[in-house]
Order: sequence, then C-alpha cells, then structure tokens
Amino acid sequence: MESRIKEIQEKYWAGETTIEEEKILKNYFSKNNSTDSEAGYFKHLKKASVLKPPVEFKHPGRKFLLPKWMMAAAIFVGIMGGAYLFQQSQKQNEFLVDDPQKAFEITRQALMSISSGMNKGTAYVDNLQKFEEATQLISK
Amino acid sequence: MPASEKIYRYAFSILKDSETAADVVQECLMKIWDKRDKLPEIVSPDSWAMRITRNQCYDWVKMNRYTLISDKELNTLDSGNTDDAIHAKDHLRWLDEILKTLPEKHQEVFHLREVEDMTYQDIAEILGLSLGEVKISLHRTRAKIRLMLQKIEDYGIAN
Repeated sequence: MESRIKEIQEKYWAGETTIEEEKILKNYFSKNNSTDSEAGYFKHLKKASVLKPPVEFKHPGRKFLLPKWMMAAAIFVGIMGGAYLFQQSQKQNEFLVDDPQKAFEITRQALMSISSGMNKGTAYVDNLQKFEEATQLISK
Repeated sequence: MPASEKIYRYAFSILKDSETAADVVQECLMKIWDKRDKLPEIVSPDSWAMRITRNQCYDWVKMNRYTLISDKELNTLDSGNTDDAIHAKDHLRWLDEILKTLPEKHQEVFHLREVEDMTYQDIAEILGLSLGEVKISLHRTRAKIRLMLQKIEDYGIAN
C-alpha cells in the first residue's frame, strides 16, 4: 500500500493524478497518524472538503408544512368552530323580527325588565344607606 | 440539499467569511430554484450551480467593496489542543499565505480541484479558462506548495 501511495504522491506533484487517485491520497492520510508535513497537507484538504455550513439552508421551493396530525387537528378545530358559529347565527335568526311594531313591543318589554331590575337595585341601596346611618349612630 | 454544502465551501473560499458566505449561498439557492426550468438542458448542473455562486460572490464583493477579512474562519477548521491539530493549523496558515499570493482565479482552481474534486473541464467552464490554463495553474500552485513542504521538512519553518 505504502509504495502505491508513494507512486500516487509523485504523480500528484507532477500534475498527473486523476480525481480518484487524489481521493485515495486524501483518504489515506486522513486516517494516518503521520506528523509528516505532506501528510498534514492532504489531511487538511480532506478536512476542508467536508467543511459544513454554519446554518441549515432553507429550501427555496419548500413551503412551511405542519405535521399531518397537526393539520388534521387544525381541520377538525376549523370544522367544529364553523359549525358552532353557524349554530349561533341560526339562534340569532330566531329573534329576528320584521314587523316594526312587534320589534318596538319587544324592545319596550326588555327596557321595562331592565328598569324593574334597576328599581330593585335602588331599593337595596336605600336599605344599605339606612344601615350605614344606624351604624354611625351606634359608633357615636 | 447536499449541493448546498459544496456551494457554501466555494463561496467561503472566495469570501473568507462564514456568515457572508451563508447569506450569499441562500441567495444562490433562490436563483438556482428560479432557473430550475433550465436544468434539463444543462449538461453539468454542478458547474452551472458553481458559476451562479461565483457570480453571486463577486457581485457581493463589488457591492460591498469587499476586502479579505481574516484567517480566523480558516483556523476554525481545526480545533482542539492535540499535537495533530496544532500541526494541521500550521499547515493551514502557510497554505493560506501561499494561496493569497495567487491571482483569484488560481485560488479558485485550487479550491475546485483539491477540495471539491472537480474535473479540469468543469473548472475551465466555471472560470471561463481553457483546459490548458487550468492545468498549468494547478501545476504551478502545487509546485509552490511542494517547495514549502520541503522547507518545512528540512528546516522546520514555513516561511
């Protein structure tokens, strides 16, 4: 093997080697423990030929794709969300009133209901005020 | 994309800076992708991609008035404190010094042949040189390297 390598080395410096022979030299010296400067040179060429980029390059034609299970989950959530919104809109349609008179009546009833609720609330506040006055009298 | 590593090494050999080389390569990949329709007509896709890379690198150099930065990137090739690594690092320095004295095209001939194992024909095509010019360039570079190796062996010095 050694003599074969020597022979290829001579051919290399004479500029007569093929790519395959040059690869033989680089591979041989990259596995060899020799500290000989020529060995170091070929070792370096081998190392340089496997130098990796510091980053992973983005494929320009590949779009971002989710894993299949994520895509399925996203579709499921989409369908369920759509169905829910459709159901809600159907419910709202039930309250749609075309007749203005009827609409006025419904609004009036709703406002009355709010008003009665407000009155009840005010009554409670009155009671609280009385309680506060009593507390102040006692504390004096 | 295994070709991207080759393209990166070539860009790095011209630009001498890993981040810049990576940016330029990403742009090259975009260009190659945009021109993918031409691929069936291209005889040697490797040379074609390398030519695009070369043009992109020199465009970058022109735009940025680039000056060669430093040896720090090359030195990162070898790390660790073993004798072997130190030895290899020394080789790297003198080799880099020799390459720096060569015209740019000759440096590229050296890289494309010795690092990327490309044929003389492909190298000639990429660099726009004749086959003879490529062979002569490589032969002269190797002669300089051999002389330096002999100096190192005989006197233990690289300069």
